[in-house]
Amino acid sequence: MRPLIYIALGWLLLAAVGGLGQTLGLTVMLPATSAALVAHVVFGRDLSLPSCLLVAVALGYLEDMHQGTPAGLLSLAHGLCCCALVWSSRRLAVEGPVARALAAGVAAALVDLVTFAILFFVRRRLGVEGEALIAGLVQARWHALATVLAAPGVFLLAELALGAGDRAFGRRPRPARRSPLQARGSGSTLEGEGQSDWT
Amino acid sequence: MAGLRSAKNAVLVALLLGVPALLLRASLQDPRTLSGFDRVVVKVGAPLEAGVSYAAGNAGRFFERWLLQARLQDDNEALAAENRKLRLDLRGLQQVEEENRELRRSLQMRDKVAEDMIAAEVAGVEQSPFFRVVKLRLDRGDRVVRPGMAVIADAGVVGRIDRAADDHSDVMLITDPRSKVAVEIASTRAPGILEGIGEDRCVVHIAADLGVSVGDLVQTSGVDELFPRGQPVGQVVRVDDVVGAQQRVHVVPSARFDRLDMVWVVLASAPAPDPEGSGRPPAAAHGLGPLQ
Repeated sequence: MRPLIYIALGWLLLAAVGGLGQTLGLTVMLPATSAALVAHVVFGRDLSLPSCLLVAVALGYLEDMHQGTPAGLLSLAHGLCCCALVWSSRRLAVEGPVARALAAGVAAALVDLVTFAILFFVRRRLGVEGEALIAGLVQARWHALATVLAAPGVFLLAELALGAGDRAFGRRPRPARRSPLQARGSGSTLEGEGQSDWT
Repeated sequence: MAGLRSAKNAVLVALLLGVPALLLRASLQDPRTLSGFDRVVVKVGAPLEAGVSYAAGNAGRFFERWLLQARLQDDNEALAAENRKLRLDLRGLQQVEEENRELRRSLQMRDKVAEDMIAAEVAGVEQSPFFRVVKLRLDRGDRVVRPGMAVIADAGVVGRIDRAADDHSDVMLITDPRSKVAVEIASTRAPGILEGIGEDRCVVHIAADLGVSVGDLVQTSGVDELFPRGQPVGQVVRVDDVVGAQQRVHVVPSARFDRLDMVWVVLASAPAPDPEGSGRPPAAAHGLGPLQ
């Protein structure tokens, strides 16, 4: 159920941010709410790896539909970004709202970077100039900054939606998996946690 | 068990990453040479794309309406502030218009009265229950105003100068018990002496054989050589018969003392009519010396 809640929330946020950007005339400084949600999914350590990837790919597909990019481009970027974040979450302790917000910004930058890489790879088939892609990549810093600023709100909405989903379906919240910092503090290592999907 | 789980996860990851890769491959194909798989991808994606666009459009319209309402509220507040300012300006203009009208009336009266007069601005009105005094501020600072001089306004007689000091003077109103003014009934020319009794009321004692009725106008007769002849004084509101050959006539002054803005102080009597003149009324005297 949680992946569906993430996807539904991502769709709503996508539509809301798009509508707000259209109304206010913003184009560049718009937060990547999908990237923020991917960061929340990964660093929340509540879903299994395939579920995380499913959420990321689905959110990327919605981004594809919304932004009019070739179908699969942002899906693949979000999927790869999710894998990278999962890999880093096993090695980095991202705790606290500020670190999570920064992680969301990194996720947005990572999505932009992967998107740039894919587009650069297929630029001839799409007929896109490399200089235009580089110029777009330079603008991605505003994208990441907006994501960092909007991430706490996105996380709050995600927590509220997940809590509401838990209450609605009578599900007991799963205890969050321990971060590497917590695992190290308790004396165990991640490598020893054979039951985890994240290993 | 852990190895099986890892293998399962690896398959799922590969599948989940392979799907978007295939989608991307399909979307990069030439539309004229789409394979069966690519056509399925397009067919599945089209309604999803329409749904996403519909949701985004609705959200956009929602935020647009919300923003529009906020802008309308701002416009409304700005217009309300402008309206308040315009109302204040209008009030000021109405005051200026009323003042202008008052000045015009005063100037017209100045042309009608032949006596030499000086304009004075009313500085204040004493609201004592026992006596009422109008304080004047003269528009000239010279010592031309002396006690006893008549003070009139366009609405009627006001009183006489009681005290004068530099450019400020106190006026004893015609309602003051000390005040006495020679008047006559405008319709019958019945003469009398107007005396103040306070509380915005005066009385005139007139011979009983001269007809006086309620509503008659009372004006100055000019026999006291203080007030110009024919200036309105008030209106008869009651007539009492008294023992003897006189009747007691109650008069309400025509001038509202609490609403005076500008008055005229009569400085000198009108010049004597020219017996050889053409019968025209004498022109207003200007610059004559004060009444001795």
